[in-house]
Amino acid sequence: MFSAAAEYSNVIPHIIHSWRPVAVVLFPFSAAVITFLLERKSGAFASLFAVLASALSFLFVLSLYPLLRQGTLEYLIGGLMGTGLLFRADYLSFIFALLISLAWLLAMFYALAALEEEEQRRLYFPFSLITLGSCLGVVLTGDLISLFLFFELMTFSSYILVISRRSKEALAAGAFTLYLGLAGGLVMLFGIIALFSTAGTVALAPLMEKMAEGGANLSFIFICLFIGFGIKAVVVPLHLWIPRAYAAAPAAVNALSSGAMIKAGIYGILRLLFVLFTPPSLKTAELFNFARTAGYVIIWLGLLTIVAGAIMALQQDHIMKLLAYSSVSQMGYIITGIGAGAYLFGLEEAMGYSGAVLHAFNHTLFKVAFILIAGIVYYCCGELKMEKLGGLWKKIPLAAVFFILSVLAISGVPGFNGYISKTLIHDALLEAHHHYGGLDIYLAEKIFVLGSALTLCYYLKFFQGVFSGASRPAVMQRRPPFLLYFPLFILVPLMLVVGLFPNYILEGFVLPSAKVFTFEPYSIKHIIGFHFFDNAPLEAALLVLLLGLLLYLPAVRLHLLTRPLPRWFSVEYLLFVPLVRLVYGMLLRAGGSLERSVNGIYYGLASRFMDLCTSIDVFDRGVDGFYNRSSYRIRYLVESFRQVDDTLNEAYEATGKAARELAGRTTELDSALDKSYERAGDYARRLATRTGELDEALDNSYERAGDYARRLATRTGELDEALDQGYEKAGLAARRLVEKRTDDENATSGTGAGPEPEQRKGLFTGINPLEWNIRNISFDSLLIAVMLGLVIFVLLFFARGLVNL
Amino acid sequence: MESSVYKFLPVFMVLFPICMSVVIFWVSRYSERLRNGLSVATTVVTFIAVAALYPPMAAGKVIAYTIFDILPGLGLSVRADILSFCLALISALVWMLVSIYSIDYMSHEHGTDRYYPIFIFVLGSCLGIFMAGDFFTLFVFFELMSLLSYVLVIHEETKEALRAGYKYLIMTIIGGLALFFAIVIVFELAGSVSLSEGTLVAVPSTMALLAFINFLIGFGMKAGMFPLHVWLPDAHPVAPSPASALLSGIMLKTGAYGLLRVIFTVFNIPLIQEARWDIIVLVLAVITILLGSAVALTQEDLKRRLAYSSVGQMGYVILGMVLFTERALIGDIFHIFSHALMKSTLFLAAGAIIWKTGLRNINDLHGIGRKMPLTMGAFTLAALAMIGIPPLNGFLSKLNLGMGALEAGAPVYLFVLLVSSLLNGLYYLPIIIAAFFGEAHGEDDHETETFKMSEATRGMVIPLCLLALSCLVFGLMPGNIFFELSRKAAAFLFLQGMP
Repeated sequence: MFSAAAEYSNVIPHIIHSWRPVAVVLFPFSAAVITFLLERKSGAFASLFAVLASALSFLFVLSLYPLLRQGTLEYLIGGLMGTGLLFRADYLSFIFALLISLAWLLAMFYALAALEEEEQRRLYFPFSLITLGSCLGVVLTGDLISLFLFFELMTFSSYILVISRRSKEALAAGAFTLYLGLAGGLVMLFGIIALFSTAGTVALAPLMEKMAEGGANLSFIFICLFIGFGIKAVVVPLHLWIPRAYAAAPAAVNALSSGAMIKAGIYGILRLLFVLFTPPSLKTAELFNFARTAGYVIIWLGLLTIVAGAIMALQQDHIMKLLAYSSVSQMGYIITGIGAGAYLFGLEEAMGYSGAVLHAFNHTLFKVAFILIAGIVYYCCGELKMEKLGGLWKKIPLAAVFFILSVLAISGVPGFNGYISKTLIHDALLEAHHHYGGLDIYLAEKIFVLGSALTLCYYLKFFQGVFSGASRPAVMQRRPPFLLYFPLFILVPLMLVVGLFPNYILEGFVLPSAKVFTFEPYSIKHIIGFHFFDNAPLEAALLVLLLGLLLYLPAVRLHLLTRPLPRWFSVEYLLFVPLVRLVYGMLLRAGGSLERSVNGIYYGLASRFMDLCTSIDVFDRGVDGFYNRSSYRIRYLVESFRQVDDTLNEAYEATGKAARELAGRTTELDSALDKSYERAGDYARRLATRTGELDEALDNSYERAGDYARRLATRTGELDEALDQGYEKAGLAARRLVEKRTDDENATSGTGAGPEPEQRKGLFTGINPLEWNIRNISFDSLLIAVMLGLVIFVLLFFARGLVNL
Repeated sequence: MESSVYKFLPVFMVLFPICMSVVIFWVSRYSERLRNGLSVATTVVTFIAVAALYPPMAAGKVIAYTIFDILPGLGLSVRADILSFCLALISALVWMLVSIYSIDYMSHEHGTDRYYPIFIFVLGSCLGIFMAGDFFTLFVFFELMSLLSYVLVIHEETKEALRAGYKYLIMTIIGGLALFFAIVIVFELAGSVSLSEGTLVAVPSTMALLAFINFLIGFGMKAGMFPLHVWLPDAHPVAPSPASALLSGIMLKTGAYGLLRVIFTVFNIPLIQEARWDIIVLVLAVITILLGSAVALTQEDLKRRLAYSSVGQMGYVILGMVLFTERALIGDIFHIFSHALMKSTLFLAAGAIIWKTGLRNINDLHGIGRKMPLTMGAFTLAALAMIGIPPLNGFLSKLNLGMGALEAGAPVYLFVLLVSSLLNGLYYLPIIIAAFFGEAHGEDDHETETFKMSEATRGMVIPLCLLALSCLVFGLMPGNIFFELSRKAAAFLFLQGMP
């Protein structure tokens, strides 16, 4: 017996250098690319190819088995990502790779028939292959950084699966999943970096000692990594994404989530506890205690997960959400098993471990079955809420039968697989109590039983809500094609196989993986040939079933199950919402206000600076004002000068103007003078002319006067002659007289001068022409002279009057 | 013979673009096509010239000589070592791709006759910063680059552009003055500002602190360090996208380069650690990281969000240089490479979207991924790299920075990095989700079903995709040349900073 146990115990693994793990991981990726390309040609062909590819992946995983019997497969692609990608397949990897690819194959088969919308298919098939590849990558890598790479890839590619319906709820659920996954990934990265920098390596190997030597905070690293994997493994309180994602995603995706992706989280936790944080030996008490304490905490975390998940599942009306919480609860079993295993380090550790691994496998079987049954219900009715469903027992009896078988499996009825794994975990708890004693572990065992009973309760609720109860014929829209049932025909018989031949499965399938770890042969021996169908475990199972029924019936009577818990009474509202709000609000508000205040400071500084500049400006203006004033003065002065100047100018101008005016005037005057001269000239000319005329006239008149005078003279001559004659006559007379007288006078006077005029004056008696002088002008000559003068005067006056005219 | 060629190369790679910018300016009067061709050819030749330096640089040689002295110890000098080669290489590479992208992007823009010569000239001055052998030469090129890139910032000549450009100009001048002050102090203290003489200031004093702070202001201004980053979120988004890509991708790095030189060459590690000056930088870096990431989250304008993201990412770079572990320094220098690639991808993708659709607001980008799958694919790749998703290059830099932080015994900085990564996720992922899976506004269901691909031109998409692929290649590929260079440069700097 011991030698049989030794077969499974840890030996130094024989490393086989093989590219097979790489091929297993990379094949789905390349198949995804081909699917994507094929979709452009034909959607149906592409989906067929994708299913074929997942089938091939399953076969590739299986093909690892012969080599794995000889040792661990490793392949290092050096240099990739700086540290190199290490692919590694050991037996534990193999178990998980197998269950992942099995779940995938079945889900893809199902999707072939269930997914109808073109858009959904277009996203589903290539991305589910990518997710398959990354999921396989998580379990087939040999160091934490490579694992992290695929872990993150899985987060992102599964996001696209979750939102493949592209409804609003799907997008919201997807975003929640994505951000939670991202946060979890970063926390995990923190742990990985911390581990790397303290241990100097990220290999999946017992590193506790190295970390402790490197001065690491062990519990911090442990918690970081646990949170990272725990989000995927839906450990309460990190389970929040799963009900949302399930409610929003199609069954073909949920089957992948439950069947495979959350198992990747479980795989991580297994590696974390049983590999990375395995104390090198029992002697290093500190490390040993750390591992044991971690195990203890994880037991309680697992129990919390079981109970919280079960209670939440009981509350649900939406069957996908119910299944989601059921998954949470079932993960609780696995985690409790892992915790018990860790708690029992050095004792019956393999018990908890193998219970957990087997339960992980079992959970894939029945949870995929449940989800596909729920998918069939949705396919037929287009509805997932229990209040709108009912009486489907008669419509889809095959599904109901499968459902009942799966319920029997999950609630741990002997003969089905759930019984086996639950019994192992339960036994591990009992062993823990046996070894360490204490009320707490005793209580833990009781809680475990209660949780199992609750499992039965919520599935009874499911059954009552969907299959039995009032038949609502209207809700049934179409009959499911047989292809939808196909995966169930594989899953349900497998449940029975595991349930009926537990020892064969354990020894052939689960325990070989114990080689990977440093389990004590003693603990493995304990499992080999474990009597599953002894009285004690059977009694426990019976107790669970009875308790379940006992709890269910009154609860239904009291309508406890339809009354939802208050909204605030959830991890989400008690823990996450305030936390997220706090951090988010703090960061955003702090960041925003800091940014604003920095900008404010700058603008404030700028405005202070501007103020300063303004003051300088004021001063400047003062100086400027001085200058201005001075310049004003000067300007004023200049102005005055200019004014003077202006005045002068004006004066000059005025003078000039005056002068000009004067000149103008002068000119005018001049011209007037000119004119007047001209006129005067004119007048003069005219006067001259007139004078000329006058002259002429005078001439004429002179002439005439001359003429007259001549004529007068002539007349005078004649007169003279006449006078002469008169005078002569007179003379003659006078001589005669004188002679008479001379005789007389001769006697009296002797003068002789004037005897002649007197003689000419013959006319005038008494006149002596010789005596003609002024004194003796005669009246006649005076008259003539006056008359002449008068004529000249009149002429002159007349001429002048003409001039004036 | 060969070594003289190498000796000539640093000068060539600086002067060639500067001379070519004049030629391009002249040519642009005659032919647009010739101008574009010449611009691309210039960047390609420059890149080849830079890449040709690889053999001596990888062998750990240093090319250093003085061209002429103005004062003893102050003049124009050349120095090419592994660090300057790293920065010159990434600059020339990104510049080359961006210049190809520019041709189509700028084809409908005004003022291209101004854009290209400046674009090429700035390349020359940028390389001049890296190839400078002393702080005086560095300062000359630094100012040249800063002032000339103003023209790129205000290219659109809109009101905001001019405002942002004004802010940029003022801050740049302040930074330049601070830098000049610091250089003068160092010259006064050490009698030299050469980069080749090892530690210049080895004794802490008030004057030395003053120099340090002024260096921090001068280079920190350029690197977008809090609280001197305020110009960055204004200036980067308003510039035309290829210019934004360069401003964010490359020109910020000149500041980081300067700080690296200051910390490891002007001063040294023991001095800064003993005098506890690193605390100033650490605190500012942490604030820069958190502030940039947090404020990016609140931005609605795509390019503005990218600009704030740059602030946060430069915070990583500034943080990494004062952790004083070789691992952190590797991460730091690799992050310079990574961020250059990632951020130019993001800006070019944003540019392609703006060019094609005119949309800048994040809320309008619903369904854009189905219309422009290549552009958004590139955007997604770069954004995931920003978040630090393996196997992209951002992960590698974050991993090394984080490990450096832990080696320095300060896990809080790793925490800051991871919080910032989460915030990166929170502000990048919604864009991507909306782009690929969101319902487009104003489209009915029928249209969303039969979406039509309408990408930007090939000349834009190819450089974009090359850059995006480089994010993957330089994160994943074995024999990652940038990582090897970072490793060598970090070792070199560490040796220099540890007398």
